[in-house]
Amino acid sequence: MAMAPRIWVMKALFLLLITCSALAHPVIYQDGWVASTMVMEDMTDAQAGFSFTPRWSAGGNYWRLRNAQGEERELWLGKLNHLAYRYNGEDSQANLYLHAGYGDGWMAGLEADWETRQYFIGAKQLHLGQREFDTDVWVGRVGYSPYVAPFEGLQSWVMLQAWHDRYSAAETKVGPLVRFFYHNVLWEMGATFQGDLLLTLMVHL
Amino acid sequence: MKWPLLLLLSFPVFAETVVVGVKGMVCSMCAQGIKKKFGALSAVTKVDVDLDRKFVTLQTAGQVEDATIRARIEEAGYAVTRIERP
Repeated sequence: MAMAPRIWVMKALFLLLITCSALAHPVIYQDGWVASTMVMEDMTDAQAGFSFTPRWSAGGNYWRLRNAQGEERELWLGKLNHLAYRYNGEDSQANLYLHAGYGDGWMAGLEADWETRQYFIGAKQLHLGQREFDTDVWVGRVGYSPYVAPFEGLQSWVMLQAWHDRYSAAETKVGPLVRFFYHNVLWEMGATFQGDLLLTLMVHL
Repeated sequence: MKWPLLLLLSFPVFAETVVVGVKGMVCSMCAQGIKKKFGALSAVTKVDVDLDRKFVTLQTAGQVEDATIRARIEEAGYAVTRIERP
């Protein structure tokens, strides 16, 4: 039993090295690669993708979900992401993304965000399934950046996240996190009020 | 007598500064794509992104067409508001 957490951490670190997923950035600039992973105790969402146009990206997606009985489900999916709508404003940007994946299970979902240099709001709704298993995942976030960083500077955010996964828990997990990005790397650290830790790493290449 | 002529020819003929107004640049991480897209052009020697004033300044060593600039900004996911050559 003592080995289980260590194995979980090693798995998470391995996935951090090879992949990447936080809210937003499923499609980036044309010919750009994005890798991301978000890890919580009961969940891992890891993705790697290539944007072959500014509107479409394709890649892989790994999911790990654990329920209250300790049973784990894993999904390995090929995934297609579509930027269905983007609003480029003077001081803000808004996006609507559609997701579809298929492999040893399936997934479909949508994601929307709006941000300025100091405010962020976003939400994601996904349906994941496998034989004899399916679940819905919902994520919502609001964020505030206490200062406006220059292009080459370190940008910092304070965010509040709400997470609901029907398979892992009946309750919605809510908690604060801090987000930083510097050049092409984004990382987040946070916790839910239920005591779960959250780590995110994202890289644009 | 040939040296002044050779020296003159060694300078880039179309070197210029181009200022490109861009809408939607609110995330510095996402805007890194602009540097990457223009960095891939051999005629562009320097790219400066100014999020406060919402423009990108290009230093070029050759002619870069407006259509190329627009295409690169759109490939990066943004919209061009103006292109100026001060």
